[in-house]
Amino acid sequence: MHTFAKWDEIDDLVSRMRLVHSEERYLVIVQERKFYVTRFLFDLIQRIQQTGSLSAFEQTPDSATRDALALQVFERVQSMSAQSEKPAAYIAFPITLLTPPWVERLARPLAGLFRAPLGFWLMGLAVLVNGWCLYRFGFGDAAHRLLHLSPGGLLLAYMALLGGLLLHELGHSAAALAGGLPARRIGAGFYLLLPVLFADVSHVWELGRMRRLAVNLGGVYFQLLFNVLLTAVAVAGPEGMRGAALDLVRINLGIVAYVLIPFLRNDGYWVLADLWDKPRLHKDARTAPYRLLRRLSGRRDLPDPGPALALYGALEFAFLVVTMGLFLKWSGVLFARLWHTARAEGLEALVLQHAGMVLAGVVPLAALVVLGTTLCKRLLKPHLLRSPA
Amino acid sequence: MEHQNDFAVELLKAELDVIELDDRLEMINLSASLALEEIGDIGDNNNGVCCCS
Repeated sequence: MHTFAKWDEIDDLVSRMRLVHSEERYLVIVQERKFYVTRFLFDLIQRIQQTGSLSAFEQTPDSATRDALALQVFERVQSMSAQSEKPAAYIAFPITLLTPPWVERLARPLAGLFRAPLGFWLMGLAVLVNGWCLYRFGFGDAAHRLLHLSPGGLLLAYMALLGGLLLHELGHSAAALAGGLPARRIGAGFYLLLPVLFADVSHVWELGRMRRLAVNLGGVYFQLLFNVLLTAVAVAGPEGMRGAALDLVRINLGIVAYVLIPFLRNDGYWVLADLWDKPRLHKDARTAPYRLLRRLSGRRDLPDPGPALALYGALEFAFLVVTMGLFLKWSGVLFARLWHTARAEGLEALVLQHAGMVLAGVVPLAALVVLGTTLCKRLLKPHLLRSPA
Repeated sequence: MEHQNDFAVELLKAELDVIELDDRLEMINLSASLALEEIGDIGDNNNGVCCCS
């Protein structure tokens, strides 16, 4: 048995940790990274922060046990600190659209909408109004009609649509503010191939489960509220705006339905992860079907994922394949249309008369540029070209 | 004695579990919005390409 001699290092590492106890969970925060730990480790780190590591391990029965335990704890705190140095975000090329002070300025006045009785009533009202709107007017052919708007109308529709999406992100941020957390940025980037807007609510791990669910659903809540206003315009607004308002309601509902799909870190994913109490649902599910098959074939060297997690993993993979397939198919069709229109009518006519189509083409083009850049980077990395020793 | 200590440390290992948590970036897919009218239009002519992603 070796004698442990890194007491100062433990004290130093632990002094940079922040501890948060929320409901049933014990959270250790190192810089921007967060970890769930057991109550035992949480209490131990707290004691080390208060009294220093030598005193904290005093109660162990003998020096050999003390040293062995100290070594285990040292390995954990060192590993957490090392992981905190690495970026963990899964968004490629993130840019900030709203800095935290701006998010604070815009979302703070809306945080009151998450107060307990008011929030439930408004959510109920919003669901009812949206349901009625859908029942009364149906989905129609909203997307097709938007295409035939005048350039000014198209610009207005885009701005209303993007405004609605930004409001969706502000909904997440406002819910986090209502939970007592500081504002963090709202930005844009790429997830897998898909261009996304995002609200950084990473500190939501510090909240209890119900509060986390409010943050998860905050975006949908705000979008449904926005739809209530649009429905009012569609029913009683100026004649010329009614159709466009109704189409925006329909498109918003389509987006709400999409973000509630519980795969690929959509809002629905975080709802499911919190309800299921699986903080690493995506990582756990990724290998779950393989692990289950391996166990069913008699090899029990990997932990049992259980049938539910294996099923979720398989469905998520299928969803990824279908989404990517549709995105690529749609991109191909769109590029072909752009090419044919440019050849038949000329570039100038394409830009002036089919602005919506050109703008829509930017999305897959940017995604393909990201994919190409990433692939090139990987191919050019020297260590990937060398065969392992 | 040493064996007993090893056993105690093994038991304690479970008490030292650490779960690394993901960043939480609440995302919304922009291609579901910027391109919606085009998707709808293409969908009309190409056997219903998905209208939401």
